[in-house]
Amino acid sequence: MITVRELYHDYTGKGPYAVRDVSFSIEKGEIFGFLGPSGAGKSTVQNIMIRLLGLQRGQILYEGRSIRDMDARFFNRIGVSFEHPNVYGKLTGYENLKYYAGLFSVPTQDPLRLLDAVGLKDAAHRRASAYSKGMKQRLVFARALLNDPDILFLDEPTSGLDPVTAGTVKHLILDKKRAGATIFLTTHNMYIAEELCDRVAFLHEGQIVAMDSPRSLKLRYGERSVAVEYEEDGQVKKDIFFLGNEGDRRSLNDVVAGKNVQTIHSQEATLEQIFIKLTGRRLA
Amino acid sequence: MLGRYVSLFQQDLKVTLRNGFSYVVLILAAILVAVVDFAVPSEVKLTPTELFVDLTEGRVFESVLRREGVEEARILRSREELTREVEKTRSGIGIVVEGDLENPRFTVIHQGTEAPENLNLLDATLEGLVRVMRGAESPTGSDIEYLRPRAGATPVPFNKGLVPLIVVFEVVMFGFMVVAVMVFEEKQEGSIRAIRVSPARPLEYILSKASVNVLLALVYGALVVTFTVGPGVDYPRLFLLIGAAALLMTLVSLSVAVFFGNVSEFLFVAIVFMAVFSLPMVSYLLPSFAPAFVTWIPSFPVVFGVREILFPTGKEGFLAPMVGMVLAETAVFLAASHWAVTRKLMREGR
Repeated sequence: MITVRELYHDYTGKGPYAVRDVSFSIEKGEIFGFLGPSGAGKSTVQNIMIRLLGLQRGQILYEGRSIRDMDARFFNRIGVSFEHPNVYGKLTGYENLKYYAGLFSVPTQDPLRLLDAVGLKDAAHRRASAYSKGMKQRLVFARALLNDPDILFLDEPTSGLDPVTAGTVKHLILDKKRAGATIFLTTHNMYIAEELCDRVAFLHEGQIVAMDSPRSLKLRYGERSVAVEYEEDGQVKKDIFFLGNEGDRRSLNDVVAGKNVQTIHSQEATLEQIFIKLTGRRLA
Repeated sequence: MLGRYVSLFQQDLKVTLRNGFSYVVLILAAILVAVVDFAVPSEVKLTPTELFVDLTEGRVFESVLRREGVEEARILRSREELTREVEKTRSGIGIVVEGDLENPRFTVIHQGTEAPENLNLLDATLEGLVRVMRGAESPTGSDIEYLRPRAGATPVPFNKGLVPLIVVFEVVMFGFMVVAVMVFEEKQEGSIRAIRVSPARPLEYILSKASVNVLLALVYGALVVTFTVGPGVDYPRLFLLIGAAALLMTLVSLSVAVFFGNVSEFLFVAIVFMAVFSLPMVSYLLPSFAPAFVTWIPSFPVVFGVREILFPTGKEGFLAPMVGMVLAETAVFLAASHWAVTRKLMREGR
């Protein structure tokens, strides 16, 4: 279990805080999503949790043990996939994994098997500098799995990937969860969060503004709505009508009665809409 | 620890080779070997060229000058011709000899830029010449003793005498820059972030970079020395000294480079450091320039140590204190680089 309590961080020492009073806990085997737009403080929290940034104020506990008491062996337990692909361009994909594996004092996975799992088997012996951004992203993801970590930190793991490859990566994340790994997922992609996360926290201007399972958040903050596509003046128009709103309900009746309706779908609020409702800002 | 060090070393070595640094070392070595062997003469006259005109009765000095090996072209027939020749050259000095053997009179015609020391030296040389002509055994009248027996010692040819400079120059310049470039490349591509979240320790990171640098320095040193001085060199001692110096330079460079973001930011500071580390090379070429602060610069003992290894004068026990001093400085910079790498490279922000 990971516990974060009253976390603050100030980059300059002169204020303001980039992260303020952030508290949450993650159960073993849970996928916890950290959602927020750029600059919200997501990476700051993750960087403190993986010791890239010093712990200034607050507490971070791994199974009750403070991060301050951890030595370099702590890194044998975690895997980190960075948002920006950071690999040695002069080395091949295989060499990137092979030499990185040599840094761990725990058993590591076969680099070629991992490369195969992320669809890079054929490119294993090509220099990473010749990889596309998506291929580098997958290489970084594979590197995070090398030491078979029981805590995985994933920063925008599907960013820049085509839908098929993103699907492969999502499956691997769910496999890790099934194997018992705890996963901290940082993203501004609400679909990924909805699909993968057991719970999510919305981060806005360095503070958590809401935290729960995606379904509970929708039930608590979302509004049911109906999306209707209809013909008007020879053109197809689309409108969303919120059922809790008296005016919207009347408008919906008028459209259904008086227009040539092409499609009609009921829909629930998205995490994005909830985020906008809570913060007034979009996620992306 | 050993496993992590070996992995980092293999990785750094491969990246360095693919960066082309190894080719730069080989090409640099080949160029400098060619320069030493074919471009620089084995003898170079560092003092001005003297031109003579003997206006004494019977030209008694001319025969002595010829016997002393002065070429015919430097012995002129008239004062006017001498003045014209001196004017034509940039560093020529004209010497007019008049009177007779008992009472010779010398007139020195020079460019006006000669150091007084050179003129005094010339004065003494001419005096010595007269003494020899009058039948003295030695031109100075002083006895000469040597500190050590000069058994088998032949003067070091000028071009070979440059080899210690060339070897230490690479260790200082190349060693200082290569490790910095390695760090900047890792910063630029972000691969250093992966190292930061791995179990690798700063010491392993430092030693890996240093090992690559030492290896490059040894390969370069071996090539240059073998193809200039020849194979009959005390290689174990040479490698010990070059290796210690390369290790030291890596640590100095790492201690400084981690505070900068890229090569352009680092360049000015690097030039200052390299200029300071090159000062002992001036002492090597001009031995009278050796103020105390220059002797404290780590490259000072190294360049003279390499010379002693390549061209032994018989000095005993010189290497141990020299390597000891370099290793003591290495220990200081190991601590400094460890602090700098831990604080500035292995962490982000405060």
